[in-house]
Formats: sequence, C-alpha cells, structure tokens
Amino acid sequence: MELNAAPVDGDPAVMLDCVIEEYVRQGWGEAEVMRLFTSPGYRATHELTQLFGEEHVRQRVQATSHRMGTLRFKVTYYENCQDEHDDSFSV
Amino acid sequence: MPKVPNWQLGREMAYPYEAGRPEWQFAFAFNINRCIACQTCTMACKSTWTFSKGQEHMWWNNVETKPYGGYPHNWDIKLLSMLDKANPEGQAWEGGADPKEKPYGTFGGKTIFEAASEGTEQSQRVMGYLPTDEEWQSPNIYEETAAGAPMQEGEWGGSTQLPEHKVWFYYLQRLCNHCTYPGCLAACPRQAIYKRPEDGIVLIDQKRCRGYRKCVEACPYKKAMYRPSTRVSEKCIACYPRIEGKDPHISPDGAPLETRCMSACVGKIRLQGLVKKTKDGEWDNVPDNPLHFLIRDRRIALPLYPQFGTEPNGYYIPPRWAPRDYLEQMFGPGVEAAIEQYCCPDRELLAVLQLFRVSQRIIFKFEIEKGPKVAEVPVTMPSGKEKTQTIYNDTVIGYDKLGKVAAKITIEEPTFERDSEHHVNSI
Repeated sequence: MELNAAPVDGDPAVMLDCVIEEYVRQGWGEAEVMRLFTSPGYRATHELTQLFGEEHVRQRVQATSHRMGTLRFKVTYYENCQDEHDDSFSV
Repeated sequence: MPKVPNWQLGREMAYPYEAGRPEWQFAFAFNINRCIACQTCTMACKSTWTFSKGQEHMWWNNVETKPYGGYPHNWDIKLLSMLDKANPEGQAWEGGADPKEKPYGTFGGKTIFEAASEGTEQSQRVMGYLPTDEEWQSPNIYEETAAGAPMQEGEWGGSTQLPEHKVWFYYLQRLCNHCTYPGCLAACPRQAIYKRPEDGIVLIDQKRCRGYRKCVEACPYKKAMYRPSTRVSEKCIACYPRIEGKDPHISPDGAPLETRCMSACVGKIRLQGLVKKTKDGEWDNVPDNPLHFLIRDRRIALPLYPQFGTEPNGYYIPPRWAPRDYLEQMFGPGVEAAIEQYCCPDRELLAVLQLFRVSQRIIFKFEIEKGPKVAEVPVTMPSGKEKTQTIYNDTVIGYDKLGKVAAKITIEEPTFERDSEHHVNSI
C-alpha cells in the first residue's frame, strides 16, 4: 500500500462553523442546513455530524443563525431576457 | 525560447511560442467555501460530452477532496515534487505586491516551461509526466482518508496506525483552465492544439492529432486525456456552442451562455464569463465585469498553482478553514488577503457574490442600486478579531452581452429567530 499523504493541522470545529455560516449567509434556515449535515449523501458535512454529534451541530446552527440572522434575497430572473419571472424567496 | 508576459507571476517567462492575443478570454471563479461535492457539475459534463466508448475514464470536470484526493491520483503532488527538484531553493515568491502589475509579487522559481528547457530530455518543451492507467481510474476513491481502504487491524496490509486527520479539508472543483500559455499546446509536436482568437478556448484539432499524448504529459492540471478507442486525445471544449450563444432554445437571441458544468451548479459556487483582453493581451480594465472585479480589482479569487506558469484562467475563492501554508502553495501569496475580505464582505462584494450561478446567461456587466442600511451583524475574523458587517438593502443587476437584464437580486433585511429561552413577550 502506498502512503500518499501525511496529517496536516486543521481544526474540524472551525470547518463546522465556517460551513454553517456559509449557508446561513446564503439564506438557508435551520432545517435546510441540518439536512445538509444529516444526509449521508453529503459526505463531508455528514462526517462532521458523525464527529461532533447531531445535537452539537444543531446548537452551532442555531447559535450562528441567532448571531448573524438569516440573510434574505429577492431574485428576479429574466428568462430569455423577455419575460420577467419574479421568484422572491427566503430559502 | 520567446519571452511572454505572465501577470500572475509578476514577470516575463520563457514559452515555446509568442503570446497569443485573443479578443476575449474564457474565465471562471469558483467559491470553494460553498462546495459540498454534490458532483452535479461532474455529471452534467459527463452526460453531455464523455458518455461514449473509450471515454469511460474521462472526467473533464471533476471535484476532488483535498488534501488527499486528486484525479488522476496525486497529480498535483507529483507536479509539485518535480517543480521542487527544479527549484532547489524553493518555489518562492518575492517582493511586495503591485496591485496592477504584480498583484501577487514575483515568482522567483522556474515554471514548468523554464524547468523543461534545462531538463534532461532535449526534446521536452514542458516539464510533466504521463499518468499511469491506474492513476486515471476510480476518481474520488478513498479520498476522505489518508490510509486508503478501511481495514481492520491484523488484516493483510491493514493498518490502523497510519496517520490520518479527522475530516476532509475542502473540495476542489477542476476543469481545463483554458490557460493563456497552455502546456498542452506548447508540447504538441503536431501543432494540433490551438487557442481560439475569439474567446481563448483551447481545443484539440481531432484531425491533426495523432495521439502522441504529449499534451497529456505536459498539461500540469492533467486535463488533456487520451481516448484509446479513437487513438487521439480529447479535452474540455468549454461547451463552446453555448459560449457562442448557438442554442436556439435557451438563447434565441444569441446571447452567450455558461457551460453545462457551471449552469448545473446547485451550490451556486460558480461564476463563469468572458473577460475582455487588450491588443497587448492584457486584461482590459472593465471594473463592472464581475470576474474583473473579483479577480483583478479585489483579488479575492486566485489562480490554481500559478507557479506552474501557464497563467490558468480558473480562479478560486480559497476556503476559510484550511491551513494557510497549504493554501498558499495552491493559490499563491494572495490567500490571506482574499480570505480577510471574504470573511467580512463590504456592500459591493456582498452584492457581486450573489451573482454566482444566478443565470445561465453569461453576465458581462453588473450594476448596484444602492439601498438603505438594514442590519449590522458581528463577524469573527480568522485572526479572532471581531468586526461588524454592515448590510444594505442593495440590488445587484446582471446584464448579458446584449445589454439585457439577466437577473436582479435584492439583499433584504436579515431575519433573526430568537432563542426560545430568551423569548420575552409578556403582553
């Protein structure tokens, strides 16, 4: 077996907080962010949940949402640049 | 060997041909911070271009896990090791950054072209290597761990003693960078590879190619691939019919569209466009082009391994949580300044960041309609310092090439959910 890597310093707690903040900044609510962490389909975020436990992740999501608030956006798409398609959302 | 200017290196460098002067350049910016490796981009590309016999191993777009992952396996580790040998004094960057001419300082080492000219093989124009068949196989396999396949202690070859860190670092999204000075183009003995003058897209002429695989060997990013069933090489074509606006269904008016991988991105991490070049081959100063704003004005999106010397046209907003020395090796010396800005974006940057993957139409110009202040939120910077981010009710408007509005995004007041235990409403 070929050893092709060595451990490098990195703090999973920082990763967890940054990823949560990233999605809260995009306007995601608690339920949506949690789905990202609990679904095994998203391997990285799911691994973080396995490492820290679902309850801890939930607490971090809540703390971040409370601190930063959930950003909201109103997006208007112009399909074929002819029809205005108003798609207000707060995901 | 002719000398060509390379703004990413902050100096001239040797390259086998004179610099090309495309009118526009295909370019893209990826926000690594948002990527969750859903691989929708990968499958969008695969199902469009590389689903045929002989293309099974081809992933023109791939997303790999850093630090362990790579497709082909260990591609960057191998290249960096070769470059290390060519630069015994290190792959160092020198001097202060001049925002316009030398935004990242000056690279003091040798590029893959300069290292090759002093190499052992006289015919070699570019330093590189040919990946083995095994290295092309199984992209993403065992990427999340250092030790390979999970094995039990005592099993043959099994070792639970190998060092391994707990989780991944980040995902790296990769496709052909349509480099300004492509390694593949430089190495082709048939001159079958060319850079289109209209948009800088790098293509392989399938009729001229004889399958010598010099491009596969020379591309430092390993994005030229050999197809055994046709015995010629293939690579990402930047979905050029879409770039040309030739899809009558999606773009009846002929406006250029983003590539398949870009427009499929559900995480909204991608922004692709065309940047205007001057007659001298420099980036034209177009401050209201979102890519120009992110790459040249703010320098928040950085090139991938600029020290290779190909002047890649793919740029990345580096992840906030990864060790800085690792990131600086990958994206050059601009990492700290980029992350600092990204962590607490001002109103302009926050607005432009909303344009990522908002429309299939390539956004050539943005405009910000300023609104009133709506919130102040506390932000903890990577240094631990506390800052306040001010949020405005701004609207960012993206325009396509024809000057028509492609999308409008208004930033609204954030909502705060109170903690139930602190919810005091006694009325």
